[in-house]
Amino acid sequence: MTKPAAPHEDEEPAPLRRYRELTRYPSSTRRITEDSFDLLNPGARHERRMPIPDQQNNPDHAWQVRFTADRYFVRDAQPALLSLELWHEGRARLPTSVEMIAEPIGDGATGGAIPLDLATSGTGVQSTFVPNDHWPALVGQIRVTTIFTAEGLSQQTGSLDFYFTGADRIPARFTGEFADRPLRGDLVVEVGVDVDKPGRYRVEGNLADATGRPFGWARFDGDLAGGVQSLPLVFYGLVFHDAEATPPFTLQQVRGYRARRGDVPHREDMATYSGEYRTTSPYTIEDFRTEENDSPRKRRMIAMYQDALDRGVRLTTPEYVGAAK
Amino acid sequence: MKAILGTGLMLATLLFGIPAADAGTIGGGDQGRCEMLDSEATTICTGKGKRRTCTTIDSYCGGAGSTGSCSCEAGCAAAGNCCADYAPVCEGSFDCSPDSGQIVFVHVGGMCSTQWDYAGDPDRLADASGISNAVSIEVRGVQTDSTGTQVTARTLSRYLDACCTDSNGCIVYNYSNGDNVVGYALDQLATVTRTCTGRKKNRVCTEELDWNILEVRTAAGNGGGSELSNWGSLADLFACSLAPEISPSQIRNLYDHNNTRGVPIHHMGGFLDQTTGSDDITLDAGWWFLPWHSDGAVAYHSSGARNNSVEWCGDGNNLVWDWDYFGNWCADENLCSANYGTLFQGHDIAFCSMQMENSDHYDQKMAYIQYMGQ
Repeated sequence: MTKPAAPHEDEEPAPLRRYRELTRYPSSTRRITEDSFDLLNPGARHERRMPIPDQQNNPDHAWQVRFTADRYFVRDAQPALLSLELWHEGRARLPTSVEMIAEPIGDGATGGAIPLDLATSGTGVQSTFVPNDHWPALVGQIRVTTIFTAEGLSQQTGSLDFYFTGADRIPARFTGEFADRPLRGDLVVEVGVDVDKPGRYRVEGNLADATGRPFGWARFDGDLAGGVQSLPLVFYGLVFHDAEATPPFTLQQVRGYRARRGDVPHREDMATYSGEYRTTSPYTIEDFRTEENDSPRKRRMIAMYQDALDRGVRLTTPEYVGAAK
Repeated sequence: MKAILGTGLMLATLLFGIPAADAGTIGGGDQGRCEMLDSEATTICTGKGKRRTCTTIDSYCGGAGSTGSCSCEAGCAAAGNCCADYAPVCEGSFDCSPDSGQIVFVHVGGMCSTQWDYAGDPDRLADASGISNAVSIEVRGVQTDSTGTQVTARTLSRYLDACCTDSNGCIVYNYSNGDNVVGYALDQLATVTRTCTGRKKNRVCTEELDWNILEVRTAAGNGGGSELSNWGSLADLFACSLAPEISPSQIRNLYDHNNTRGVPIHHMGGFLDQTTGSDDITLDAGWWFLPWHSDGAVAYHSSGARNNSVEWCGDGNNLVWDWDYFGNWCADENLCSANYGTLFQGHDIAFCSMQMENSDHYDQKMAYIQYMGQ
């Protein structure tokens, strides 16, 4: 099959253009920006201040609550910091009674629910909770339920979930060893890992340029045997051109997990690694490829789009694909 | 004016999927299934030494369903008690013609559902009659228990393996939590072809999707999660056990939403305005608990596929006094507003303008089909 000549942008149907945009890089690597919130803040929580439901599940507008924590993924012996805040008519109020109960609901859950120790902090109630003290063999969800009352407020119940991988279930750790090199127009960063439990792993990281600006993301997705070894994160060369990235580059927020495909819980997290790695090889922009990702599969899909249009399928022309950068 | 209604619990459970039954029991609760998770599988070994053979039972086929309330046995159709996912899981029946050049419109319902098209409801499958060699099918997956997103994604993967590979191409409609079923399947369960080049230290591998999905069409997507899920009695209003599992923190951390593997995920979403509200009393109440704007079940950050749970006008800007609302109303009502958040990569908004004003969560299930006309 020969590669079809790319038609002039004006001639190409919008759905095909969209497909080309989305396959500009292989799916294992992307360009990111400062706005890539989820990739730059893995494990972020999203609870917000909200009205409290009354007895009929209508909002009690006089009262608001926020029940949240500092992280979603808890690994190894990490603590989680939970907080409960209340407001009445806009002013912070302390509950008159409050309890928090943690309960494992994942694989390996034993021991049942436990009450958490609480402390008043400022205008709220907090608890520092170390799941590993109770369930080191657990992987999966932990649900913390809070039950509280306040003067003039009937008893309320809220819950908060964490995804926990206990110390006994950590499948691999990062060794802190890294290396980097160019390879066929891409940047490869070798990441050292010590694997206790062989299996299918996903490891990913963000790349920042000399100015500290995050611009690239890559993921390894493959089988790992046991023992100390390295795995490659391959950052596609065109990303460096598109982002106008300047060396040296810094690998940040390296994280990974052993996948449990088709199961619940679906992952066993590797131990958290907070270090960074700055590339050591001297790079220039000429080291990196300028061509878009191409493959027989991509060409086949483009033909399939055209065929669908020819057969009368109405494909979507999106009205908004994001703000221009 | 949008009123604070005394809901009297019309039970919000219909929220994402199933039609109303008796007051107070909308949705019918959890349903049995034939699909099995790996952790539910059992391995039975017989014999010793070289004669030892093991068999893994990785579905409920041939016996009772997961809850015992329905059957996965071969005779269940005649008995009329098959679990909803019996045909795809146990019979390998998907209502499409594999590798036949077919264009397949696949439909994935929402939370608490087991299908898309419910008799007696206004919902229907997309009309593919004007397209040569095309068919519309619905995914019969059980999206009800606490693992419903993952379980249905697994069932969806069976459909996509059968209907959307080789010479076939697919368009996938989904609604509400079907957004997560599709997203989870693409990120976590996708069938791929792996190609490795180089040797030893220079060996690198790439994966390409085997599913020929031309596009995904999402209406009122729950990909960003629903705040109704994580607050006490509100979650209890939903009529199936999946309800407490779809909060923004859980859903946004469940899978990599950006990993669409090149498949365009198009979205549309609506909101309840300041004057009318929803004709569904529960969605009307739900509106008050959700960030601006919302359709009574999911907020704009979710239906608008934003990579953070940003609230429209949550920054205090674009607020204007509104006499109907009798308060400051968010005047930035466009799902495509660049003021609020960044899209997940691979996702976009199909329709920007105000077509979906005063459109509640239920109204939107059919909206994408109606807009596309097929």
